[in-house]
Amino acid sequence: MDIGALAPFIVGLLAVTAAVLFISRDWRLSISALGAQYVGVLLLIALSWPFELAVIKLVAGWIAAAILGMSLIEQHHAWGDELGHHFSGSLFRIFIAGLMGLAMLSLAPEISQWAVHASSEQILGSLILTSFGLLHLGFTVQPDRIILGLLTVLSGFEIIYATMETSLLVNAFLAVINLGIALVGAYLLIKPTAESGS
Amino acid sequence: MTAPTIWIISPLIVAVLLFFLRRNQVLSAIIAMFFTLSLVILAWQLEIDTVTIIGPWVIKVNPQLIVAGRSFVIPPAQQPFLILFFGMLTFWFGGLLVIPILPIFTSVALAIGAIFIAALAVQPFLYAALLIEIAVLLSVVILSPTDKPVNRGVMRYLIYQTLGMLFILIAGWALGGIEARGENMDNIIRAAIFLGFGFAFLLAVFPLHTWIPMLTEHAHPYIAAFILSILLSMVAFFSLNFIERYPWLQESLNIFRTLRFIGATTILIAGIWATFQRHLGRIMGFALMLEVGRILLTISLSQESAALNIGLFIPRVLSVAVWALALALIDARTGSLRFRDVQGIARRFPILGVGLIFGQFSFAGIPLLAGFPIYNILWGQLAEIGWWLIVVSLLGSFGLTISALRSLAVLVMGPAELPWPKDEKSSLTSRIFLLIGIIALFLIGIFPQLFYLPFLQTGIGALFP
Repeated sequence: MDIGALAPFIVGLLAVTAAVLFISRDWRLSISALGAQYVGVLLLIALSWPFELAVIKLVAGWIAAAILGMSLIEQHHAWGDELGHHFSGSLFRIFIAGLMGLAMLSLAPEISQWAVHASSEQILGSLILTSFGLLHLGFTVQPDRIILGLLTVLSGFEIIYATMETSLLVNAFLAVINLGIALVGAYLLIKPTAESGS
Repeated sequence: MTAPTIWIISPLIVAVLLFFLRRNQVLSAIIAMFFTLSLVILAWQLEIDTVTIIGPWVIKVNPQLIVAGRSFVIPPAQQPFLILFFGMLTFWFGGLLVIPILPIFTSVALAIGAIFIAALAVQPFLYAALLIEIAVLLSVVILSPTDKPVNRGVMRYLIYQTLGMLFILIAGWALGGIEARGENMDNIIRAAIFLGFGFAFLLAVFPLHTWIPMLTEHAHPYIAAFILSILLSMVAFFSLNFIERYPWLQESLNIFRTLRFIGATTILIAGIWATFQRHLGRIMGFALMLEVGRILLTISLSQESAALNIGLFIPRVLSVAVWALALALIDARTGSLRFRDVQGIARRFPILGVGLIFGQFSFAGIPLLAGFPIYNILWGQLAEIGWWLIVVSLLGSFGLTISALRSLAVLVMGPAELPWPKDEKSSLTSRIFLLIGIIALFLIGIFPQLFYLPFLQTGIGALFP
């Protein structure tokens, strides 16, 4: 199967999953989106790497999602629903996500001038995940959402970095870091979430 | 037998074993102390890459260990630093005998120490960014104990360090590309921007510093001080490696001038902010931020920066250890480090008060204390570059001195009828530890040549004529 032909759809999948992670109020939906996001990451990385090596990203990502999901099953009350019951909050986030998506579309050609080994889909997918992850980090103080934001940023980074670096050790370290972030997230979920002041 | 096996893998194994002893803090602290002390002795006695005969045994320690095609190298020149580093760890673990702390601290701290050495040893050195991130993830667990709410400072710390790692990895790739394809000003500027953002995040340079005081305010002072002093040192050595590896960065962009400006700004802001704090933990946070500025200024000196960086490491870790030990002991007695809660504490526990103030004074660079000799050299070198650098550096130290004097005023404030050491109940062991630390601060301050003698190989000796 030619994964390259599917690349535009994969970018679409990544945009949807990243937007769902940013907007969602339901932790089950967020964890599902995270899992789906890693499928997109695998497919875009597989454009540069042998498939069997790229699968490492999917396995590490799914384990990370599973760790967070299992913690949230036990501690679902710890999930930070910051949007409340007002639709305006979700609407605002949708609007911001749309703006960010457009900004990334305009930025992608610029990036392609120096990330010479990456295809335009890889660049766009990477930019969408990184920017949505950063948005997520900027909009939240909840540990669980921060962890989701970090994992999204890291996924976006890994897509573009895979076109530059194929070292086994680096990828092992990145997988360990993905799992480490998920474990830290699971650890923080079992703690009280009240902020004690700044 | 390889050097990385002794000084990286064996501490990691012991750290895992200590995890199972976490219920017994004193026992795990004693084991960690003896273990790190044995690593000090090995670094002192064994000669890397040379045949050593000990009794009936003939030992040759290979400097290199290869893992997954990449190597970890500890050259013989790093042996004095290993003595210093594991010696400092011994002192930090000693503090655990007198303060109640998170049970897994010993295990995680030893693992972070091993990762520090791995980050210095890994080749290509860019991989150190990944190791630093792993150390950060481990440290989040001890900075955020389960019985306390999640602190926003810890989350910011995690975010900033992760973003820093990503920028450094991209910068490394961009710099490698420039080396391979030849220098092009656009590419150099792009790589420098990535590198700048990376180190700004990792070193918590102004205005990305906000998590440091938040962390030292809410986390356990001993843990926060340990993590910050180790992390800053790790990133400082990593930054130096970058500058040494890519000298054309300086030639093309005059990067040192930028470093000086950022370092001076960070020192000035930290000094001013420290002056107005009303929380002993936050003051320590701003002092560590001031140290970030000093690190940047040291790196910008180019000629003696490596030696000065190791020189700064010694008073930094010792001063902060004494300061944090005193803070932890005060915190255990008052439950808070706000000025209003620690009023008069030095009247009841004079040695704790003395430890705290001398730790702070040493950081500020007051003469006769450990910080002064090396800061004096740094200031001398800065004066040769520009008068404004020395003025800003001294202003930062002045701000920290004012905050130390304010702390002193609060610590001795109290009802007039309370006689001085009437209610001294701090344990004998904790007093002994603090006194050892205070005496060490003075010994290094008064006789720097004697103390730095074992580290002549690193070039520090040349700084003390």
